[in-house]
Amino acid sequence: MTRFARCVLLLAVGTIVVRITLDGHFNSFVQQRMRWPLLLAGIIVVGLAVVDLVIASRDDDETNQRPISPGVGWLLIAPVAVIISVAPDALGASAADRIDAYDPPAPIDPLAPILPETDPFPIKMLDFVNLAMWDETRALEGRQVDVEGIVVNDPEVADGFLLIRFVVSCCAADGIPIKVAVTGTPSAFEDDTWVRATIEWIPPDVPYQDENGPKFVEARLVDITEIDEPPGSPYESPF
Amino acid sequence: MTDMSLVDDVHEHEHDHHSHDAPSRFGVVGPIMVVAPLFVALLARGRVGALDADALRLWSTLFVSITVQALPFLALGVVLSGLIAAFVSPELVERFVPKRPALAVPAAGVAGLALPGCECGSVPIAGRLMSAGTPPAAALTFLLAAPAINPVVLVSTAVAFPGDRMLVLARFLASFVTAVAVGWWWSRRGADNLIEVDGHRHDGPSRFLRFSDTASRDLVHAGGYLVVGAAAAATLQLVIPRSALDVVADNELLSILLFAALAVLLSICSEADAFVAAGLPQFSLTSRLVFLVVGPVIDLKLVAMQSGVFGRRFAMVFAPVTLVVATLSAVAFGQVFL
Repeated sequence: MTRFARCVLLLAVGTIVVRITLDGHFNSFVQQRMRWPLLLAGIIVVGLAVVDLVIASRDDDETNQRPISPGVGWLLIAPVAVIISVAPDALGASAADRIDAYDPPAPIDPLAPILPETDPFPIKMLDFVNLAMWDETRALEGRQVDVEGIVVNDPEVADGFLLIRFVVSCCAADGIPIKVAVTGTPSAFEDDTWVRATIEWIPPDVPYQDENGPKFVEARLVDITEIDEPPGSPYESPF
Repeated sequence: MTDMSLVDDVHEHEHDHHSHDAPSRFGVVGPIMVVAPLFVALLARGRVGALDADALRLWSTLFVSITVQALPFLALGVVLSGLIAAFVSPELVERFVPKRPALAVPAAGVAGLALPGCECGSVPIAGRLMSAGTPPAAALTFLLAAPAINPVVLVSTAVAFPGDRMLVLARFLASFVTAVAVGWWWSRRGADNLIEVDGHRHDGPSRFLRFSDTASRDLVHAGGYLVVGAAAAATLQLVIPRSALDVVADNELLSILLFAALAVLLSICSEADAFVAAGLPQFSLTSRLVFLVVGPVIDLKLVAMQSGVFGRRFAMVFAPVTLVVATLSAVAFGQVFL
């Protein structure tokens, strides 16, 4: 790869990185805290491209014809081309179908949640499932909560649907779905629709940890509205 | 008159290029190879979605995610490798790196504590350390230790396994022992001739140019192999769904082998692998420790990057040995601590 070619390659990579960081598309791929590192990386790559451009415009022709980087570098154009052509979106129903639901690990100390006084109150899907499974004080019982997630119509949930949200710690490749079975009302939405739902936990007859325990945390639907955009990041962070 | 001749010059070259691809000012073929795929991608925009191929879209998300996630760490890595090329001379290395591999190797392992990155960044750094005169055994120990035992990785492991504090300690010790053991083995074996590291000293007119040229070169080099590894890992994530694993959960030996294989095939970042392991509670802690110790030292994208940076013959020897040592070390520490 000649210097000028490398310059164009780096420019393409750096520009697309800066672009997906600024327009928010990066949220589909990585956690939000990667925003600044990504922007910085994009700027570094563009900076390296500019240095190449300056040197190439100064050097004579013969020097510029010499290959200065290995050809395998061309492959860097592949992710750029995929972002432009496929415009991949965040993990959704088709990914949730392939991966088992997240099982929050047992806490070290018993949970003692202090919940807001008035219903309904907003809560992360991760916290909802964690409290449902491990809170021995059953603080969630009888409370109405607001959660945001996507609808997945699963035949296993007869009179309802799965409300899911992915937990992503680094990038989408490590995403694990949180699944809550919302029952009592047949689904009015297609797969992958983003909704804000008010739900109420249905305590299980048999504990979740039991071998015959329910497969999903279950909840009763109180209210549901479709929302356009995933709020902030489409993913929840385990941190 | 001077101006005239310059203009003539340019014209001549343009003409040359049309006729028989002679040298032109910038060389047009290379840039076209970048722009053409982007142009095709632009034309295909919207139409790929119309195929409604769920698997293709999911593959694209995974593939782009792995590369995007790795890029900041790769950028940090090549900036450091550029600084090494610009400022670290063989004389300096000789002064600071212990002569005896018995000491240099564990010292390099401890140095790994300081780099809060994933595995992708440490490959170019190790390569440049070698070109600057660091004994390969020490550079390789650093390569194995840095992604496995840095503070970010240990903290995320503690967050993912709140109830199993000993797991963090076991992960740290098993990874450190793996890195040092492989380093010592390499120094005794004396197989440095297998390594085809880029010894090219970029003797630019200034330190800055040496820095930027090395950084660009390493970025393009390691980045190209990263893309190969990311494509392979995305494909395998689709082919082996994580839910299909339950079959062997009851057999300890099979789970250990399975998790060693998964660590290699799934190629999950060392900062994230603990959460994936925590999500598979039906398996024993020891088998999941194997996953956490093997993943950062060897996986598909690392093998791709290592065979690119150090040569294929090197990777053919280094990768299997690392895999075996890491697995054994994890099993041993799992027996003691978990």
